[in-house]
Amino acid sequence: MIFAGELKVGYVIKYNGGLYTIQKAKYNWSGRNEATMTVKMKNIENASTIDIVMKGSEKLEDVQLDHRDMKFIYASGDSYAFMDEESYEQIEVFADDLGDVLNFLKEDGRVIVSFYESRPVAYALPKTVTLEVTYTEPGEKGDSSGNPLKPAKVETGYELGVPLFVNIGDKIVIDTKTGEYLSRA
Amino acid sequence: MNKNIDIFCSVIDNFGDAGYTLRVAASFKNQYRNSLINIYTDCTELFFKLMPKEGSPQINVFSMDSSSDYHASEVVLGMFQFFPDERYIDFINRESKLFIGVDYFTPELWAKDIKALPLMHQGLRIKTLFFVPNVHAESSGILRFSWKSQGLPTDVLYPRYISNAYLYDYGPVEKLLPQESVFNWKINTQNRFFTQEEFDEILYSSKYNWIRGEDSFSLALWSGIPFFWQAYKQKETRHFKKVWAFNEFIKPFFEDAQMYKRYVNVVNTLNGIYNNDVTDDFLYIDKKYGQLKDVFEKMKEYFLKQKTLQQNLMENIEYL
Repeated sequence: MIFAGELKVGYVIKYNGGLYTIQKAKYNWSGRNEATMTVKMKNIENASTIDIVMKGSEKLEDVQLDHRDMKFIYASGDSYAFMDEESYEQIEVFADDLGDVLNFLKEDGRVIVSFYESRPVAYALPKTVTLEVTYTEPGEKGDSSGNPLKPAKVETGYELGVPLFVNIGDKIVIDTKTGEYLSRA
Repeated sequence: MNKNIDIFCSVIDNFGDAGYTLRVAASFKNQYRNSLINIYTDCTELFFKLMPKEGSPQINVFSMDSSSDYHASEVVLGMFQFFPDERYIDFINRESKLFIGVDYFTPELWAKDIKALPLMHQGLRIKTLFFVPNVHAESSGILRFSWKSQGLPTDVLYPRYISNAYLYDYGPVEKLLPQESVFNWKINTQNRFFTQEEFDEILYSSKYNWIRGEDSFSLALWSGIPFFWQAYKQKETRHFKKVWAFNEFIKPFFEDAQMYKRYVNVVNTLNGIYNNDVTDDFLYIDKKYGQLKDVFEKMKEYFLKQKTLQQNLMENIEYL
């Protein structure tokens, strides 16, 4: 069993008798000190997707899977190819199935692919990734609301809040679970 | 159309949870006049105290501890991430059609899309939906219900009454709120308790409202009267994000950048984000009060064009 608050992209859970892979997972602190998870998940059998909310403390049944570390080698249209560097086995995955992984996937990036009965079903990222900032305003522009973070875009096109001292060209470390800035690399 | 509705609310640590729930219940009662609207709570006394003294709507308030004769209504609401325990769940699964979770308010952008999303709860086997009250267009919306639409003339009951202050922590703005000008200055939690009706009257009678949390904030958004919001303090200063999100939201209603900057300085100080002396900022704001009033009137007009939280809830209830 795991708590919903621990869910990450790439996990597989049992829900209403079906197996679902987590494609997007957002941890939200609402009022008081309770958290909710907003999750997009895909049914492994029929490929239907569902957006759902759960309390962070909700207990879920997770599923045992085989995990392999694979390297992103190329994209072709809507398809992304990954390779197991030990066995040289390659798989192709549609963008839809990668969900939030695409936010942080760059050339040669690592992805943990989970297999259920030899079938790739879920895709997860390392805890952190290092990406280059491709656009952000100068520091003072982001400060009008008192927020010490300003918007920035990284090389994969993902947008997030970064401290005012971060500039274009800086490499930053991002927490792939929260999608938030951690530090400068 | 009649819909019997049960609303479950556990009161965490102050009046806001109960006050907000009571407004939700009253807005349902306005819509479904011949229906039973039942509140189940761990703090019945507080609900009775908050209700208007005269002309209270027929809302039933029950203790969650006395569940022996419970029968579930067609629709059940769980306020603020509260789920009824197993004593109730079986009845709800057998007798109800819809369970709605209503979360705490947040002005943050992430909450914008959490409107009528399915809610996972391993015990519930009926249709479930979840709403996060939010200020942005197309979101779940903001609760709109006041017991009074305008206050009494301030010179009748509250002479020299300028600011209505109802905060968690008065310290950051103590210098701005001279005691003689604030009707319920630090009295509210110590000596005098207001019913919601009385509180609404005070809020609508004020030149400024210094408000906190969720219940009075929802009311203030619709008032067209300038207010300063103190968010509920969360662990690891998570509430700062809510304050910044509200500062960003309100920004387009300001025409004067200087006025916005001063307003934000006061709000951030009120929330402990800055530790500034904001006397000059407040004097600047007060000198140009008409300009600030326009900002809040414009914001009120904006909210009047959006669907309210209760409209969004009722849309889903009516199509059952």
